[in-house]
Amino acid sequence: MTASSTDLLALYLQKRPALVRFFAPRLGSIEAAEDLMQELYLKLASLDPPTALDNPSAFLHRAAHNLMLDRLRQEKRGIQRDGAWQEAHELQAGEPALDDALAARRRLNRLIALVEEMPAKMREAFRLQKLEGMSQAETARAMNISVSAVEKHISAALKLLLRKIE
Amino acid sequence: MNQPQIREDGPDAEAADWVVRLQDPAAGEADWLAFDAWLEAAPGHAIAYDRALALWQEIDRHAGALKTRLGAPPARHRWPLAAGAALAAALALGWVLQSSAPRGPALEIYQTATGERKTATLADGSHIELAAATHLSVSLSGAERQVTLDEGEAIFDVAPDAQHPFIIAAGDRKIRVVGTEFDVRRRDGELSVTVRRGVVEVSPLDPAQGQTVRLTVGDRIDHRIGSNATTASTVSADDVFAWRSGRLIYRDRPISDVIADLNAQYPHPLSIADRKTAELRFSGVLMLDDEDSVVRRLTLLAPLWSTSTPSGIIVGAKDAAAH
Repeated sequence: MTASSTDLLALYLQKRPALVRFFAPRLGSIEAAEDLMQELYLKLASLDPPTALDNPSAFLHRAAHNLMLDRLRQEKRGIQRDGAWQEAHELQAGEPALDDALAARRRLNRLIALVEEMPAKMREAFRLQKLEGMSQAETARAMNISVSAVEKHISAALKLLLRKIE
Repeated sequence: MNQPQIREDGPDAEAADWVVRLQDPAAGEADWLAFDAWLEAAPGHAIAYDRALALWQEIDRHAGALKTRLGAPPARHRWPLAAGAALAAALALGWVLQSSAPRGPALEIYQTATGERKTATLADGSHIELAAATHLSVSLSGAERQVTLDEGEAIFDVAPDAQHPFIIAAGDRKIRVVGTEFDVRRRDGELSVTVRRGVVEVSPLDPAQGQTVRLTVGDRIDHRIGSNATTASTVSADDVFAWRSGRLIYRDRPISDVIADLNAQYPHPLSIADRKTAELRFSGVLMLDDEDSVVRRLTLLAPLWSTSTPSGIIVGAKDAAAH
């Protein structure tokens, strides 16, 4: 069984939306994940046809993952994880219109109220990780709980916000 | 049954779990395959996921405002600070990160099966890529970050942390690094270390068993575990690192190395006919597809014959005199 590079590109096009969704949380934004996919496309297009991939979908992931590691490695030298893309994103978005600004403020107030209502540990995990920018492992150490406990708190926090934000 | 709120076990809750799971650096191939299957299981899954992801990013965008408005956390939530009150608040985060870096689970085991490859991210941010048939353990809880390579091969990309040196024990040698990327191979009693970036030191556990060797970019040492000797050479690090893209690249390596690497890939064992074959030198690139094809190409690239037996494939050197 040999997957030609044409097959691989076809699969790439099919899986691209899922790959963007997959890498967006790790990279911090959909834009960064889209960039990664563009880079992956160039890489795949210039690749010698890989021989006998028994799982081309896993191959796509691996190729994207390696590109991402290279990229994170380069970024780590310069700027803190989230800062760069957030600033870029905010600049791009520009000033919101007045109506939008009011709606945005109302939404932000609602978000703050919901975070304040969270149980203490959930709120603390949420604060350290989402607001202070700590990794899951760092949050776990700071709170002296396991990484999976942090993940549960953060998951529960996101579910609570999703359920109550509107 | 038209419920506007998200159910604890519905797609929205699953979507939230995925968003949180996928921000973890440890999310890998298995997660991708599971995530892709979940997305395709129902059209509503992608919609639920996009909604959760959008909210997640909205929070990131407003992190500054949220932080200010939420105010300082209650005292019981602060981290213990050893220094006095004079320590600036801005320093607190850095202090905590630095002092907590070596803590973590007491011992973690990472292993791969025959033909399997795996990437692991450690709590300190270091990455390990495990080649096939590899077994190693990691302990980050002490003053030193310690890895024991029991068998196999791995590429280490070590997060810099001068306070906590990264030590890899492999047989009778230890490899000490501060922050770099390098490959360690331990198969059938043969140890080799190749550096792609930075500097590493390889020294015997027992000082009587040889000298400390300092390696930098492109340096490689080979050592037979149990002997006192190490052989240094300069190599293309990219060749040594090629296994992670499914290729094995050799320049003037003994056939015994090639066979040991292939045995890590395939369940059907390969063996070497005699000592003369084992010492034969090999240069070339082997794409890792199916075992029969790889062996066939190997016998075309090198003066070798192969024969299949019920207990495995035997590889031997062609007799030059017979030709």
